[in-house]
Amino acid sequence: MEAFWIRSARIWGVLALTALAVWLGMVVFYAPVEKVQGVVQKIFYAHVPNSLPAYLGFGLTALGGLLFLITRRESYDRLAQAGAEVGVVFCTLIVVTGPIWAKPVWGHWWVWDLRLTATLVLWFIYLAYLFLRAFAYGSDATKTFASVYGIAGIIAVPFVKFAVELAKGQTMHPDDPAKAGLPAEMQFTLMAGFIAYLLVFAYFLSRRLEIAKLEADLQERLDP
Amino acid sequence: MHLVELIDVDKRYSGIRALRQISMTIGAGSLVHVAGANGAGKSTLLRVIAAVTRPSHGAVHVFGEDAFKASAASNRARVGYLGAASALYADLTVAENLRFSATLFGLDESAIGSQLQAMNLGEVADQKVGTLSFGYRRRVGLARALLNNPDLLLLDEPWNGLDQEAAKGLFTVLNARVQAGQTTLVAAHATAADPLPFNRVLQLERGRIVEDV
Amino acid sequence: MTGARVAAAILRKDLLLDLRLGDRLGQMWVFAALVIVLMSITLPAVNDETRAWVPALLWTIALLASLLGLARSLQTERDDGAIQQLVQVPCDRGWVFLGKVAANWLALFALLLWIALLSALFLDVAWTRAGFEMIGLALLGSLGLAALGTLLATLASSSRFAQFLLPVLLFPLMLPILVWASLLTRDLLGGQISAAPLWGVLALYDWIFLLIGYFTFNAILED
Repeated sequence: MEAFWIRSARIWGVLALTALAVWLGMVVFYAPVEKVQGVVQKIFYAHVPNSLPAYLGFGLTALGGLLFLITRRESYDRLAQAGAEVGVVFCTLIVVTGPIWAKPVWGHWWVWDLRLTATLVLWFIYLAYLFLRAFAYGSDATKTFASVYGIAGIIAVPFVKFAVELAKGQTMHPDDPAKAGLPAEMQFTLMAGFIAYLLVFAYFLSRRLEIAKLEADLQERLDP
Repeated sequence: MHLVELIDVDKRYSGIRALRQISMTIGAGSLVHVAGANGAGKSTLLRVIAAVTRPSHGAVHVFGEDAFKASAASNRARVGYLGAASALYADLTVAENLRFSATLFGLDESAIGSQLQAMNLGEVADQKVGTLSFGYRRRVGLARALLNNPDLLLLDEPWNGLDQEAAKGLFTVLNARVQAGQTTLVAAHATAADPLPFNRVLQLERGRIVEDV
Repeated sequence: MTGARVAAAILRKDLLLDLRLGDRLGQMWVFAALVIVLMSITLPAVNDETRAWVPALLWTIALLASLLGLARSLQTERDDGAIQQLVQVPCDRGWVFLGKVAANWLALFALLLWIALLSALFLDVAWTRAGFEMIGLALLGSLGLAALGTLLATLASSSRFAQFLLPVLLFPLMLPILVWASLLTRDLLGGQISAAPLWGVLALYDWIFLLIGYFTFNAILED
């Protein structure tokens, strides 16, 4: 599977760039300006589509970790690491674009709202994962430790959501936009965003896997 | 059946390769000298055989079973290992340390008494390990490794810090093990000339076995 | 049976060390006392409105203080490589995890008792109103903290930056326990029993991390 991703990196890149151009065009020219919020609402198209790649990345981290613990194959550990790094990039974008949108609309940069808070905790968990990898001594043990934490992290996610819901109560955050009766133009633009972001995710992931593989091969060559 | 069998074992520590493609077997009843310079991979080799460190690649069979399989756990009761560290709790006394290890292995009190005697530790038995000198701590570590009268004993630089008398005691123990048909691997610098009846020397260099006699 | 014996031996050894040295409990107690006194002085006096904040404050203080004890628990094993013996136990190493968790559970429960005493003294918390359910809650809360703390302290302790890594790893995963325990404590102090699902999910979370620790400790200890 790793080989497939590495080989297809360039294709993903071309697809991602194309989709991003289409999406951007749709955001600027096609999607209507929302009546109440005005043009600010358009950050919506840059904010919402981050969620899927972020979850996908963290899911791969847990999956890669689990498979690594079972099979001890290093390619799974590389998959887990790549998933976490790319996932953190998208999760960071959620956490950054959220407040940029929230300030003009809700009047505060940050509100301790259910989704925002849960995403923030998710972000902390996978930042911790990256810290764990960065600060360990870099032996095989690091891979085992990271795998365990990656699995523990994903298991904690539903509990974190439940806990935040109890602690913070009702959400201000809009519901799932697909159900919220958006005009068709808005829905199509959002859809284009999801597709574009997923393609960017695929491109980042394949490049990250390629780098990890090159590093591993280099190690082998330097010290046979 | 070989007591120990290594198949194509590699071990990496953050990019440094401590062991490279080691394949070998060790038969029952041998006394093996693992020799080599600092950093040649002696300690790692013992750690891997003791199943304390998982190899990056390759397989380790001890007593005919994959040492890293869950089902091989009970085999660890037949292995004694003294690593580079003595693996003792500084705030427990010598006797308490040995009692803890004995409980882990399911041994009774008599094993402790005989090891205290064999390593001549009777007079410090009730002292905290943290107050003892390095040589004494090594002796306690040896007593711990010998506690379960292991079929396979792995010693990493056991003469480090031992005075002449204690070294003599260790010679006696190792000789007795050869008589009893038990297997021992001793990692020590090539320069330490030992009058022990080693029947095999593994010379390690940069993680490889370069000589096997 | 070997496993239970190993876990019991580790628990006994840790208890012996705790009772003999007292440094682990002592450090946590002194730290918790300092923070509570500091808070009592700095924060405005507790009134009916702010009383709802107190449970969350106390559980957070417990979490902060626990860092000292959890790190110490693993330091004992890392010093002089004593952990190597635990790697060599002739049974599944999951039992090593359970033994360490048991010892930490006791120590953390003692920490909670201490915090309860201090808060009764300085913050006027009426624990008698909470009843025996509060002891059950303290046991569940400290068990979760012990399970997560033992697992993550083991991961952190092999790093150069263990002191930094332990809270970074521990806090996000402890958040659910912190929230549930605080809510349940608030309800208990208010004289009401919270809904059963809240207790259930707390117990479930404890159980899940006991299982994760049990099943991964084999690999974790193999360096």
